Amino acid sequence: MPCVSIVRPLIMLLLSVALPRSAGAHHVVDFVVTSTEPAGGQLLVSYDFTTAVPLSFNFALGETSIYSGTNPGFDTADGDEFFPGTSIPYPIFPPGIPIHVVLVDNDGGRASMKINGVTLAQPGDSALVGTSGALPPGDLHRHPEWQLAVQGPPGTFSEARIAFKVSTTHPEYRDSPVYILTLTNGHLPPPEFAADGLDRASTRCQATAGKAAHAYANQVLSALRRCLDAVQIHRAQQTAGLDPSRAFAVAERRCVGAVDLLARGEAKAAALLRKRCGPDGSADFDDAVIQQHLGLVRCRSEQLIAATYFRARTYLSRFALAGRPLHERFPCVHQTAGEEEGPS
Amino acid sequence: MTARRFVVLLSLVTTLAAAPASGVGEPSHVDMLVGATARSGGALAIHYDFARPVLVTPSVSDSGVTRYTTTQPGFTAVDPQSQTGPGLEPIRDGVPIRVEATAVEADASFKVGTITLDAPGKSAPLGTAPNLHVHGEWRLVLPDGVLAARRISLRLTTTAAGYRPSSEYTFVLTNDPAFSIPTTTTTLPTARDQPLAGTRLALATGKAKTALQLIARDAGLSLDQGDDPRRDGATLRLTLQGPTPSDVRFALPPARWRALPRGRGFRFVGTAASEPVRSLRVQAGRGLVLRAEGSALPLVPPTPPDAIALVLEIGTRRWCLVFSDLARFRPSRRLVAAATPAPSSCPPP
Repeated sequence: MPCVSIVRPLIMLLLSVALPRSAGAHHVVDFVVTSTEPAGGQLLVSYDFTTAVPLSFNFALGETSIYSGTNPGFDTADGDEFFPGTSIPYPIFPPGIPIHVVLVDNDGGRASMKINGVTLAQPGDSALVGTSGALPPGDLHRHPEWQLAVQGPPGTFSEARIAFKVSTTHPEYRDSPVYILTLTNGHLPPPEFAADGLDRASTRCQATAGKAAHAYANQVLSALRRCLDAVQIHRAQQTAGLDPSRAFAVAERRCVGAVDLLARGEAKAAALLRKRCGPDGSADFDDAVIQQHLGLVRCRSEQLIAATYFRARTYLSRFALAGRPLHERFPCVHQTAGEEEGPS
Repeated sequence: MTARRFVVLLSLVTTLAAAPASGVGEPSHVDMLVGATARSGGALAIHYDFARPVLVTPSVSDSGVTRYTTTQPGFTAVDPQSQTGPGLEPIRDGVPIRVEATAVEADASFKVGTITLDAPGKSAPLGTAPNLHVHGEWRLVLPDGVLAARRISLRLTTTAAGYRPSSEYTFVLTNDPAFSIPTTTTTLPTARDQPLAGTRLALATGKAKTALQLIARDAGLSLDQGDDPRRDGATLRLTLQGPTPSDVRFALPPARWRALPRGRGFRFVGTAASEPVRSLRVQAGRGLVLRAEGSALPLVPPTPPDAIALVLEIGTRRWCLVFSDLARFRPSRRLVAAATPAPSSCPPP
């Protein structure tokens, strides 16, 4: 049936990216490089690309902080593995298929990967991952070094996306789709529980982390909501031909005031976390990790606001603080598609 | 496409995809295998070719300094289903494993997750058996253009009952592709070494002395023309590895050796009270039998040793046995090691 040749690769493609990986073996954290057909077709990388890859501080390079990690790695499927959530086995490569990884984009140079001694730092850079069926170390199991370059000292939250595909010179296979992986330095590392009894310090630290994140996210959401609600009143008055000047003043006060409010909220959350999780607490997290995590909490909250209030970024840009447009203080309030069109 | 037709197609797709694949499975990779010396207990251990240096490659250069890194080798637990490392048993499910630095030379470090092991005593979690699979970053920081090798020694630890820390393993990191670890530090077998299979080893500590009995029935034991202890004597070395290590050597003077009939081998008989080795028979095609006792022998340790190694040296020739599984153990009193295959190599001299 001719349709099969179209539908099967399509299903494989969807399965390769749409479902999180099942547990078991070391493939939990690794990419599975496979293909749509047993001996050809399109190359695929099976992985849950919706999850960000947490990296940790490695070293400082002048004003730049470098974060790194080694997961996920590349691997091939064992004979008894299936596409996640299905009974469809991964096609296994015949021996001798060389697999390359090609960097497609790296967020303006902020993200990179080093594999087999080759650093992929520019779009178009590529490196050999390995060859199917080859004996180690030429096989297809490789863990790259993922790197995130952050402008600023340790403690500066940042995320970057790295886009790549896998390819081969073998004529029976086509390049994979482009996959996008998010690298982040905002995840808290897991606490280390002591083995000599219930580790109250670490459990308290974890509870405090949850509580502080919750409180700070609430503050961000609340401050921006109050700001943007006032903006909406101003807009409604404008639309109705009423005098909007008082509403504008309220909106400006709330929006500009949000910056200071959130700075204080962040300082409070950081102090709480330092007390419970720093050197005088459970010693699970250092100051930089705490700051980065609060940066992540704030960013996610800002993203939520941007999804709730259409043109939030445009509205924020109408106000200024210390001569700078206010939207620069809320970098994760991204522009929404279509925001530039139509009346604001 | 109707829903029914799609279901039919999906079913066909599933059937096609479930057909046997034509390829071959991947070989086991080049990672370190992490296991234990005994099933559900014993000492943690790593199987890896430590004679192979860890080659790091340039990662970042700045201000006259280059950072060299690699993620190979990683750690992988012995698979309880299908894989066993030589002499390694799978670690019990749920056992947390840590890696601890015991010695770190300047310029070298090992980053595992968020923790950098750059000084002795620092440790990081590796994971929990059986799903332990970790690749760290092996790192060297050197002035631009300098080729060098640095060592990092690590051991595995756990808080789980029944398991002991591993021995110390030394990794040599280098940015020099032509570098090879000097052979004097390797444990690769030489032409003059003959690893033997062990049948039984018993060590008992009494009030005044320790007694040792060893039987190695190994038909592969060979004696060459020049292997004659009556000329220069021999040396017997007994090593206990583990939390309470010991390493003793006994000289077996030439005068105490006698040839066995028909040139089958030699027999040593100790007569003086100061000679702990009471008898030792070395027989080609049969094996080796040893009986020793006295206060010079190592005591049975309070905790089980990781391994017990015995090396007999006659001239330039060495025969060795390594027992790593204990059949019985009574702290500070008695241990009996189970039969063991010949090790892949003899311990370094």
